[in-house]
Amino acid sequence: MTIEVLAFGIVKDIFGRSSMPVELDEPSVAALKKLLEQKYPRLKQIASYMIAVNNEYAGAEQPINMHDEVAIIPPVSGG
Amino acid sequence: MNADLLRYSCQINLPGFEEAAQRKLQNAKVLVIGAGGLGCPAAQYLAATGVGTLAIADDDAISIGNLHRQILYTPNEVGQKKVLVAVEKLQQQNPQIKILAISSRINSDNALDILKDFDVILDGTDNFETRYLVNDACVLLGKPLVYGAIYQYEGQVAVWNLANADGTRTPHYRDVFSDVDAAQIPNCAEGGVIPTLAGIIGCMQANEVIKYITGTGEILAGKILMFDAQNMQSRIVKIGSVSKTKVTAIAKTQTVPLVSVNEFKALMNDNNIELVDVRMDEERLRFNIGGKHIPIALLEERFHEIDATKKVLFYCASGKRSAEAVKKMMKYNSNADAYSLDGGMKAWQESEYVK
Repeated sequence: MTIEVLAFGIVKDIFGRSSMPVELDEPSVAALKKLLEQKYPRLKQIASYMIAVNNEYAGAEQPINMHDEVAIIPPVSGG
Repeated sequence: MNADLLRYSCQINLPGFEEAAQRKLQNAKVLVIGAGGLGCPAAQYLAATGVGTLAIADDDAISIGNLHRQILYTPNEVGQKKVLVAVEKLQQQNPQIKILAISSRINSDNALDILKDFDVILDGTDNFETRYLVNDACVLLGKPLVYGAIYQYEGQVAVWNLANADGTRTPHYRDVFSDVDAAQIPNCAEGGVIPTLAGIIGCMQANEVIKYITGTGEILAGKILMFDAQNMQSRIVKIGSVSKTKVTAIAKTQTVPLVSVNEFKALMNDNNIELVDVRMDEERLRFNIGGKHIPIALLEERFHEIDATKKVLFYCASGKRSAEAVKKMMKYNSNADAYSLDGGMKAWQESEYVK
């Protein structure tokens, strides 16, 4: 299954773009995290970032469906 | 209408606002932490709207690079304490309210004592350590925290730790971002920020404070608002209605030993200093003052390259990453004599310019 992932903040720099397609074998947030962290080790180094599915905070167990909007949102520190 | 309410007549005329809401503002005590890009506009609107007691906390001085977004300050005030300049101007803006200056840095020793006297806290800080500290203190004290943060063209706003009717609390910062490696996330000085975004997000924060105090509208609790100034899109991500992350104590904040640009210039030819640039390759190429180059993301694996028998001085663009480097160094080698160049290359270049 291919899903479209939106990137925010520093994650845009890490991915090199603001959205990208991701091929998922197992349709869950945990699987997506694992896949992205393997491909982009810097994502793991941030230590924590939020995944939102259809504009709702998504825990690791949450399934992901084909047409869901998935956003990767990192913390931001500037003031 | 009372004479002292005249200046507020346009907000008192709002549906659902009236004189009672104005009285609530007059009786309210608000603490704005950080008098920077977010704190300046937030404090200006909170003063203008008639918050009775408004305290501003900041330990920093005004620098030239602040002026594009920190709109309370002028070039003549560069070098002065932000909080003193801010308080003076805000008092002129609204002589009817009480404005307090807190010029010491909020740390794990004083946070609870400073925050306890306020009804609501506004987070306009520029670093993760203080953000977590302020969040944890608000959770422990049961105070609502109006959060805002900016980076490049993107901002985040949320209201944390509001009381629910059943005695639980709405989510707080650690429910969303449990922990962070500050060295991995660039700040405004490093990644840049569009000045108007600071105004937009700061105003949104002031807006939530006004709504909370007056009991009007729907507060941004249990959610986080994301705003992108490049395409003007905003989205609200729902987090949930109840916090699931306990805070039992305040994490100890670490005081990083600093060396000022002037102190460093006096020591520059001292052979007993190990100078380390922790910025990224492209920043190093653009401008550097020498020393070893180890980007902070690689510091842990390359600690052995640093001669820790000398005084180690880390530098970066703003002093934030070099402060993180000092903390990492102390963790790796508790005997290390490590310092951070205060203000980084920004302060260095400003010192050259002023001269």
